[in-house]
Amino acid sequence: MGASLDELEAAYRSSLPNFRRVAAAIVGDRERACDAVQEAFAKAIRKRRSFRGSGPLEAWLWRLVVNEARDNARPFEPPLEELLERGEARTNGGLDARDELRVAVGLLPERQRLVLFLRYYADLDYAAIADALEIAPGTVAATLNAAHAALHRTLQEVAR
Amino acid sequence: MTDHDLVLRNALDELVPSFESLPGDWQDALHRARVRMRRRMRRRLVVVAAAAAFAVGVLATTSLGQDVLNGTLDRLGSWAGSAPGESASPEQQAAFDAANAESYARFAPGTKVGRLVSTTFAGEKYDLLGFRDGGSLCLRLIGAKSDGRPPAACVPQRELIDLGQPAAVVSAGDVLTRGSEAIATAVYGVAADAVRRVEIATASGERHEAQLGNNAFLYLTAGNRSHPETDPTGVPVRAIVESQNGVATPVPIETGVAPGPTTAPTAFPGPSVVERTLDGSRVSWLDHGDPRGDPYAWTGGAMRTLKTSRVVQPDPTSSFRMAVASGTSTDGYERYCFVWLWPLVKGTGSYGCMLADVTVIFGTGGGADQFPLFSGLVGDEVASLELFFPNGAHENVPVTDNVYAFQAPRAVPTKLVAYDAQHRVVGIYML
Repeated sequence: MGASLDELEAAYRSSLPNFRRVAAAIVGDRERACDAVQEAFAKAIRKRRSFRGSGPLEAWLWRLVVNEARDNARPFEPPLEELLERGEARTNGGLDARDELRVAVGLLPERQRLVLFLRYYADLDYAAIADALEIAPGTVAATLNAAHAALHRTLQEVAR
Repeated sequence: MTDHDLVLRNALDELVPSFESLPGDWQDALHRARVRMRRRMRRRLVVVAAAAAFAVGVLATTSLGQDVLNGTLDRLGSWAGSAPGESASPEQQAAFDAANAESYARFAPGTKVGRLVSTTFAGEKYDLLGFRDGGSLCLRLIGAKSDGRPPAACVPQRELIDLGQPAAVVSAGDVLTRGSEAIATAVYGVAADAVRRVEIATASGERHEAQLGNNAFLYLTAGNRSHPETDPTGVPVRAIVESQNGVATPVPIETGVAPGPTTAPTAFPGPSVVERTLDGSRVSWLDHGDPRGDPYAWTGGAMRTLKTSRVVQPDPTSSFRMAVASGTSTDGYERYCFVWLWPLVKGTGSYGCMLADVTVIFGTGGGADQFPLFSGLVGDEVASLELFFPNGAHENVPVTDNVYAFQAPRAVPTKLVAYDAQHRVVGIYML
């Protein structure tokens, strides 16, 4: 089966901002996110003949990008401990709403974070997320609901 | 989208701003892919070079040096007769003769098949057969019950000698099947007289002894371990070849993605500067419909107009043949087309077409798993081709009626150089 260079280049050009944005959410740094996406596509180029076509090419590319970003991820930025310390300070008025959301996202289990990022930063539907993360579509829905619930309280404050 | 979604989306937008305005760099991704492959090849070369340096040291300091010198693949005592090893069974010879008769390109009539190594694996008997095809050594693995056997894997002996190794892995991707089930993966090759032991090392570092006999070796392992994708740890990565004096030589095995161009021409033996640039080149006898080679009833797909179709034997020391045709394809372009014709392959092989205006047309695929065949056409202004190896050895590539065919080792890079009639370099291709 395999994927052609033309197909990979087309996917790169059409969805690059989304790939980078999800990678940035995972690695917590714009520059390293760009690097992770470049490395993921370099891997895709090298392994293109092994793409078996059992799922969409896009899902295979998402897996490569997500895995590359995960390999390069450092603790959610800014460092969680620091934010939590600042969160304690926030009760005294020190933590803004964006930081608070960041803390809440950082505290989500990894799968919830990945589903959230693919849903909101890449605009993937449930089926595409399921393909990308190799989980059942029903699991995507349940995972996203759990993430929503966990973020609910924080979002209420952000929305205000 | 619910209000909740919208609020979440807006909030997340603030956390990780859009990348829309930041341009991409596809060339960088291509470059990274090439660099990574190059590094992999370099690491392998360093291992080989270190072992070679060690062997040279041994040669210089011990009286057993002559044994090591004998450990090259021009010393194959079991291949000296009309058939290597022991005689194959009458049934095996008859099956070979029948398959040979059914193929378009054929090994020479009367080719005798010998049995090199026999083994039993998972309750089935396997024989590694061998025979000569002109200047090539050919191996064919036959199972009593398994099916879907590939045709023979042949490698020119001169190329094995050029590589300077005491043994060569000819195939590492032969998956033995029964129905849809992968029974075993086979690694086999040829070994010089001086070789006393061959081990196959896997990606996980395990080493398994191969069965050695009659200047050949065979290793069978359960399941499909022909590619890192099917088994990242069990896939074979090198053979460790031990000579009579105890020197161990690593022989690399490539089972992953074909490496493609990985090494800069300047960092490799042979010319590194193109001295004359050809602005395309035609094959005049194909354009004029001259009756070169033998006639061929075209089987290579639809052509709007077919000017000529002939079959050529590019290397007189090999039974491989290539049908070539010129004409206008259904999309209106002038094209040169090929059909690859393999002995022991029933009927005719696959085909390909290229635009009829290039210096060297490449076709790859087929041949032995670890020594794939490169074949194609060269334009009239290309007078000769030369293949360079990492150790500085080089050989002329036979070209007959503008058709060439050669095999290159998959596990190490090689360089193909094209010359014009004045021996000026007109093309350099890293393989």
